[in-house]
Amino acid sequence: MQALLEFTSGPMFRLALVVAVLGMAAQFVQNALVVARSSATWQHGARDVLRAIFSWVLPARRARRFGLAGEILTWIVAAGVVIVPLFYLGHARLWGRSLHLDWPVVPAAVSDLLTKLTMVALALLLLVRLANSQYRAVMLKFDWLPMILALLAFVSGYLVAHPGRSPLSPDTTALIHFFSADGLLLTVPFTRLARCVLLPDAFDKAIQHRQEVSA
Amino acid sequence: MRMKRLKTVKSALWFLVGAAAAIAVFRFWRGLGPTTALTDLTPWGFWIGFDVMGGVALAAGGFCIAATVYVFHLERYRAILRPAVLTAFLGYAAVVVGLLFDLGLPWSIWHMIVYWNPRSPLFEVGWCVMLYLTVLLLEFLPVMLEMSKHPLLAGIHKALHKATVPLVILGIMLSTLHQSSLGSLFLIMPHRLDPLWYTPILPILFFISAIALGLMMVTTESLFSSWLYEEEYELDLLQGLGKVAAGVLWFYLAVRIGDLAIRGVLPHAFDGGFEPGLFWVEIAVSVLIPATLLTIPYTRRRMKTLATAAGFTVVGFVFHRIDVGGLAMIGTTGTRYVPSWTELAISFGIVAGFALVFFWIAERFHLMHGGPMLKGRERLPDIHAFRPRLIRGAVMFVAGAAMATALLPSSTLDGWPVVAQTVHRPGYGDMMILDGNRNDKGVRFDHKMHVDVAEGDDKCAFCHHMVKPGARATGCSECHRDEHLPVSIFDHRLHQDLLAKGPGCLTCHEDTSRPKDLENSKPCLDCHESMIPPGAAFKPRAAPNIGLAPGYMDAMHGLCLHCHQEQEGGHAGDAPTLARCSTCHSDTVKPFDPLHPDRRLEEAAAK
Repeated sequence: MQALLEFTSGPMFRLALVVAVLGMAAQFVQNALVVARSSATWQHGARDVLRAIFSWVLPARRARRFGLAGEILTWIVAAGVVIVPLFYLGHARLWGRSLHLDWPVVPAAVSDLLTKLTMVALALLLLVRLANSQYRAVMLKFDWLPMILALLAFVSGYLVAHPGRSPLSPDTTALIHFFSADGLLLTVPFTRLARCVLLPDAFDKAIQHRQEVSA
Repeated sequence: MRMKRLKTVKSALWFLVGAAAAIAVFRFWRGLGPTTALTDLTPWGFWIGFDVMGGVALAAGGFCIAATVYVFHLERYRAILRPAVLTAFLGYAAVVVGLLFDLGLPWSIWHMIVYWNPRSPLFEVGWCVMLYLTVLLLEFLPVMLEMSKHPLLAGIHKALHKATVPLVILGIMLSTLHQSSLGSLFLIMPHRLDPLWYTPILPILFFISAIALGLMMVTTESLFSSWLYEEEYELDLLQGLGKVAAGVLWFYLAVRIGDLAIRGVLPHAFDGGFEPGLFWVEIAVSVLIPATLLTIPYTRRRMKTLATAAGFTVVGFVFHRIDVGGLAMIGTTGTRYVPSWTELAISFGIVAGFALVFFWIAERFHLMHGGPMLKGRERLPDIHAFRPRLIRGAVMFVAGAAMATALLPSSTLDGWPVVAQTVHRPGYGDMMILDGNRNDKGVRFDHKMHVDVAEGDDKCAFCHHMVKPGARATGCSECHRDEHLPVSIFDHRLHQDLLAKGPGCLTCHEDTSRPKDLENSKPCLDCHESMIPPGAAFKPRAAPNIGLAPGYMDAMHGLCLHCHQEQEGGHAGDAPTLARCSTCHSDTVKPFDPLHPDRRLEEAAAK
């Protein structure tokens, strides 16, 4: 068990982290090249492109199209997935120790609340996508994986931080947490999650959104 | 099939580049020690042998083919001139990149341009690399500019085209100098290099072998490119190169064996053991097998045997350079250097990176066979595709980087911590030995002379910039107690004991509701005002609170250099050399003998 814990939190975590970070960077560079070569970019001009993307990214604008509740849930998950792994006290200590840096920390109450909200939001989003045939149609098999892994990582992470509430032994809970987190990182550049750095995608949607609003 | 072969090779190359890139981050972040198997005793390892010496030798094809076409006017070899020059240019660029990994202070690589040291063989090597790299770039640039329609670029192309012959002559001169000067580099280490390799004619051997290696490298590159892009093999041309190479190889063998015989070292080659074994393997791989294959017309004209001969020559002479660069020193130095996998990964990653650059150029410019080979290019994926897709090269790069990062040992990831080393006192009296960690690399310090040259009533205070309560002068090692690590000079236990009978903790921790740390306590100098004399050269950084004392070595260098530099600036005569390393580190300090602790002090005083 100890060897598995060390493997999943050491070499496997490093592998997953590099895949996630460099994979997303590669997606970004590749798509930036496509945008730079796209005729649409040159037709509209860089300022228009940036304005359109910004307008698309703002949740209040998008909410008109997808419904406020769905937008809020998505943004809770986005905030949870970024803030908790990076700035929760336990994680922050590991980052700081590995990188020899003073790593910022969010108060324990905030990270606890955000974890609970993220768990609920992820579960609701999963249910909505299961229930709604339109969503289900665009979700490929592989796209379910990061959502399930994220839910597993957050639940197990919460139980690692509060061992008294865990029905499993601390080592087993930690192992599930490490495995699911590593798995989530590995899937990031190859699933729909990568779309957050897909400029052409955002650009296309932004232009489309603008046309709809003006119409 | 064609795309598959090319894709597989490129994928493997991207994987190697990714792995090397990840390791490179740790090499420059954590330093050479935790990342490599190099030590102070073996500072030159695989990177010097393979990347630098092997890389330069492999690039010899450029000047060989340039001389064949422009000097000997054998026009039919013009067809392979461009790839040969490009291989040479990329080979030298790889040497420079490889060197950056190997240098302890890579950011100072430009120093040789400004701070000349004409007596150093490395100075000549450095300048040759820099100049020849520039010449090769100028030689090859017309190939990349010839399709340009921009007037400026077209003008540059025209000017460079006119300057081709002078550039080629310059390139041949520089390359000839450089190939041999790499051999000259090892003439300064007869005590390290085994006699089977050390010879006064090492520069000549390097030059002759570079010709054979250059010809065979061009052959290898041409055969490999043809195989990869499924073009027709240029066997007619290549077998001509093979014929010349065979002659050069036999000549090289005669010179090498003749040299051993004249120097009387030949019997050593039959002694048995590591070095003689290494010698015969190297001779067999680099000369005997390929020269035999290239001498027989039947084997020389067949693609497979020609490729075998070329491969053996290339591997054999890179092996020779690695031998000279390190393996042939194992017996004399007694070291057991085995390159770490990270060193190998960096080297292969550099080669892979430049191979990809070669393919990129080959696929876009008129390099070989009269035109660009666009069939190997992979298109960027459709942006409207439902699933985000990374191109194969990017996936392989990420996979290589991830795999290498996962496999790195914890010593590389975390670096080597600075180990605590308690400082030993330098002794008392007129002469001292500053050798805090007893590594026998200290300095003889003439205390009396420094007292004599100092001026003013409070002259001791200049150096003894902090004095313990009740003392006249406090020695450096009493506060700077560790060789490298900063140490707190505050002794809480002492204060606790001394103040126990008085107001106790409240003396310093006036507000007990606040945390009992340095920030919330009474400033030290409120009570110990006299600890910092007015004439002190340095004041504590955190005054009025007294914080950490820097490590002993930093403190000594800081104080001594501060004053020596000031003296240097204001005086003529000997003063300008005062701030140089050799002023203090002029002679070796004898090893400390615990049975006779004062002996070296007495000897130093008697000098």
